[in-house]
Amino acid sequence: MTGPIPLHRLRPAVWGTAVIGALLVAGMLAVRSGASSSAGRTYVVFLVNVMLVVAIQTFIGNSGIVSFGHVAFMGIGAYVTALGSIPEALKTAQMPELPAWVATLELGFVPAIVAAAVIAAVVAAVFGGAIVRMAESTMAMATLALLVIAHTFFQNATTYTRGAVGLAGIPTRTTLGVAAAIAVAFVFVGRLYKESRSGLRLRATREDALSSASVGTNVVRVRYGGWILSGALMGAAGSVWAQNVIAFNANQFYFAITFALLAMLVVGGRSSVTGAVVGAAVITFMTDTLSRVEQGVRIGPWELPRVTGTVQFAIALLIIVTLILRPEGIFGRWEVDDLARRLAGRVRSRRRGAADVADVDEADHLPPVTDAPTVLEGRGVVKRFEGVTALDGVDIELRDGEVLGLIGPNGSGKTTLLNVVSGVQRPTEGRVVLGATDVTGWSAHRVAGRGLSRTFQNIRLFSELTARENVEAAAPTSASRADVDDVLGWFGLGDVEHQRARNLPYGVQRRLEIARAVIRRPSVLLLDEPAAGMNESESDELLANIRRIRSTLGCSVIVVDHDLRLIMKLCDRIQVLDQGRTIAIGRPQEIASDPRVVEAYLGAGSPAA
Amino acid sequence: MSDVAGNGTAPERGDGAPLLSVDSLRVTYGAVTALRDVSLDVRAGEIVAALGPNGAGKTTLLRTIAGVLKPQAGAITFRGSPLSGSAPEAVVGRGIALVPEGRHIFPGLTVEENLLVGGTTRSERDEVRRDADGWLARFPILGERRSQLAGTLSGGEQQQLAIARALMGRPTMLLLDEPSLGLAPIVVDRIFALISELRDDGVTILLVEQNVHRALAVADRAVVLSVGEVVASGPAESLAEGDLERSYLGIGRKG
Amino acid sequence: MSPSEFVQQLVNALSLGSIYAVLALGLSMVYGILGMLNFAYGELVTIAGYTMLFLTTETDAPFILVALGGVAAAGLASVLMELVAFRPLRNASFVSLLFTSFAVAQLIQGAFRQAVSVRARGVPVPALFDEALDLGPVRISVLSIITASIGAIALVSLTQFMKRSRAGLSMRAAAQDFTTARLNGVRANRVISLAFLISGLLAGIAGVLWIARTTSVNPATGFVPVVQAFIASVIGGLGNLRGAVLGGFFLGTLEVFLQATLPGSLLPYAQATALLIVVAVLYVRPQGLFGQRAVT
Repeated sequence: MTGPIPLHRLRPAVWGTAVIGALLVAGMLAVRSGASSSAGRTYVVFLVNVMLVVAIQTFIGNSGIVSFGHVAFMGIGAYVTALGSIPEALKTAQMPELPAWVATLELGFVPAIVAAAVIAAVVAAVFGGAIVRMAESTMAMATLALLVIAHTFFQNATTYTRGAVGLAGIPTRTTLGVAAAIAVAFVFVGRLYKESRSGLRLRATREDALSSASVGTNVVRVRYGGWILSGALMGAAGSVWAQNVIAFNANQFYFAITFALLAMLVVGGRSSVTGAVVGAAVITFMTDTLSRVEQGVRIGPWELPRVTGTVQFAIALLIIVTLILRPEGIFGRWEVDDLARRLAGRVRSRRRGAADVADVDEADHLPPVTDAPTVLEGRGVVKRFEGVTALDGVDIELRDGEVLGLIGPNGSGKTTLLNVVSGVQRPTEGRVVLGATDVTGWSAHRVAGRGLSRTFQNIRLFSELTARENVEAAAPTSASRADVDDVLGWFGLGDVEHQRARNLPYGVQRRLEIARAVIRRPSVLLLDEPAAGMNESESDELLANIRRIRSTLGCSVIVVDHDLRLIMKLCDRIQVLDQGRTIAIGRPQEIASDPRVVEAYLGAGSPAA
Repeated sequence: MSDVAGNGTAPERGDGAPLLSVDSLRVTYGAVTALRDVSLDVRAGEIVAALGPNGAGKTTLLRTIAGVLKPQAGAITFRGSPLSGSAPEAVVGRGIALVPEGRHIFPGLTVEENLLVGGTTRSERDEVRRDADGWLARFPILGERRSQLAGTLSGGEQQQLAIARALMGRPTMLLLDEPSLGLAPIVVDRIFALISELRDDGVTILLVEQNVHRALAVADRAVVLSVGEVVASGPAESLAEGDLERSYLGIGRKG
Repeated sequence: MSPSEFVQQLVNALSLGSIYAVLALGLSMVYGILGMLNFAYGELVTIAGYTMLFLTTETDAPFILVALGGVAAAGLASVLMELVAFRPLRNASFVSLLFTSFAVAQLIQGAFRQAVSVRARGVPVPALFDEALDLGPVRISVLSIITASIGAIALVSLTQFMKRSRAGLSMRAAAQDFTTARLNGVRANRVISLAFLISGLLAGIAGVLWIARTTSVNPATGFVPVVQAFIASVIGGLGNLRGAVLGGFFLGTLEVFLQATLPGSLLPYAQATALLIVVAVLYVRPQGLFGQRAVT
């Protein structure tokens, strides 16, 4: 999987683009051969809308964060193009105060697009630095502020924009063929990004930001990347748009178009590039038809009167109906090539790497590791929440190659301890040392980057991603496709690699979560209640899996579980917590006979105590 | 506070038709089946303990009875008429109050306001205020802190508040989810003493509790759940120690 | 700026700030209970405006009744909006609800375009609003005083309602923990309808004050108020009612003082500059000025 886009992920992007591209080009040829020039104009508008929506989809679709501000980048692209490519005479006639170097600029088609993209990307980078750090609901508002700010500038920086009067005379270079080619290119870039390592990681943050951080993703950084790319694409699309409309003014980059573009995205399916294209088609042609109706039409003997505002009305209704009937839009999260694969998958289902894990024998217990070096250490860890002390000065020491069991009754602090050592929560007091590094107070993704992986008590998979994508989203850059195959194979996930995580049975989800942690080849692996809700045979299988991981990867493991049978069989040492303190620590047989442990589990007054 | 069970005199304990009857209940969360075919009866005036290790489905059982979760199959009957599918607020209106795991007091409301929220289903405003005063007198530690934000209370105080808040609606039946969770032993003593008193007041209780010995000491009957199924049930004193340890320590489950 | 100018600007800031505070409070109310940002909130201001227009042109009602009519219409519209458009999507995601409310906003704007006109229509207001009081060297417009007073009355009465009434208590409980509130008998549908009613009434009050300043209404009238309400509640920390009020006053003050101090050529940028400052503030404190960082 070296390089930004793994080869096997490139294939669906190419196929998906090929199918959509063929349809777009076929449509173009049909329109061109037809006699109506208005059909040709509408089709160009549709293709430009495809570009604009795909550009927005690149951010909203992959990050799951709503942006109302993208039209600002479109406007920037349009103004850059107008200022750069209107012929000099026309430009100085409209804007006499323009600096000479701008007035004399006469950029060609491609240079104008590139300039638009670059400048939009710069603005996106500046503004995005603030936006991507915010909470998700706040971000939507900040993008709205971006729209208002940009609109204010377009309206008032009249030296350059002529505000509401607008600019005219942009060379119309967006022909039918050129528009089709660029639209296909946008679809391809959109798909490439979606399938790329960064795009996959961004989609993973959409599903679950916390577990993304736990597999080493810097959530803010991948969001920032998607935002800038999306802004650049929007700038480029704005440039193509400007080279189609000849003249425009500041009021065109405001609410009406934002609404129309978001409608396309919502109706088509905001998480899918295919959906963006379909949404653009539905809304563009609906708008076109309705605006004709608004002019007043004759249907047979009836003459419909002129009406206004039906377009906005119809789009609004369409959004509401779509959200009620298909909340994820027409295409949902599917791409056109997913559908093809789904159909093909019914014919031949691949079987490989299924459950060759059960044959690991019990003798796999490594020799005792009493004097092995410490790989993870917590010293005097205290964690207080409002009024509650969850950890009250716990020491924990994990030695190289061992499996340490962490047990204790509900509320004894086991999960909190895992959260503190993995960087999900900051300790109130105490230190955490991973390898030779003091990682106290580090964020989860930095700790993960140092070789610590974990699972969660209530499974936190990237539920809308496939099993394979879940593992790939966590894979380090160095992992090859074969490594992913191996890990999927170990956990018997080869058969279900293309199924979405949320559709998998519970036990399989548990295995997938461990696979996702293991692909990072961690030196320390934390498993939080991996056997919860499993029956005996499932927990036996889990036992074999954990042993296999330990011997294959040579990692050290901390397991929290309530299934003491599993813990006793699996662990080299066991540490018992109660009320946020360590009450016992030792080998399984010592712990099993320790009255304090029985008491902690079954309560004081136990006859065994 | 002898009139905690506001719905007339409590029937003779253990007699006649069950007050609450759960029949073949099945609850799933997405891919996970949390309860499969769980049945149990609770008769008026008794305390029934639901025991079992983490993940056995005890909390799911209480939350389903309380109307927070919708069962896939099965029926819940309360005082002879069906309860399953009712919204949580309707279940409280019928006289069943849940004290949730982790207490869930309203941290930004005062102690007194928390109690008043518990009286939402009742129309007589003055009586609700009198009841609140009664509880603040019964728990002096809460009385001292009546105008303090509930989020500043200690765990044990929060637990007392959560129970008192549930009783503000004068329920016939109380569902208690892990009332001793995370509390110091001396505080647990106090909570269990309170549970006994409530029984004497005539409140029927379904108790989910990890502290098995405490639970059995106070309960009349018990059911043991494991991986979403009832694996043992009977009078509290006759439940074999072995059965319990086996299910808790994860030995001898159904495969 | 001379001291008397400063006092005048301060009154203006209080006046504009109280409109923003009332607006932000109404938006935060719904967010606090449902976790939903209602984009169609601005249209409630528009509805208040058109109701006033209708009442002044079609009846001889005195302005006070016209104003009350505007407030009532916004409250009613808010409740209906929830019943018809948002209730079918009760358990939908934040994003779906945001998009739905966005569509509802467009629907209402479209309706006014169809039914009335795209163009702005003047709403007559009492001549008194144009007058000013001379207090020594300080000249203060009557409208500013009225606005600040009504804003203050609205804020105080809402606080009292939330503090003293049983319904207010139910709403506060629901805002903190919706499920637990229901487990205590708080009726979900009723508390949500009530939140939308109060939200609508607040939008109506702010709307009347807004129309009194602008003296006209058009289908897009609600846009600036909703943006300001969003921004003010974000500054205050979304869902935090006290924060929303403070955020409103912060934004109002910022805008008034930028208007007063920016050179003439930059005046059109006052709102944009205020927004830039807010974004800069959020860069440093992503949780808002008065919000608390979420605890995991």
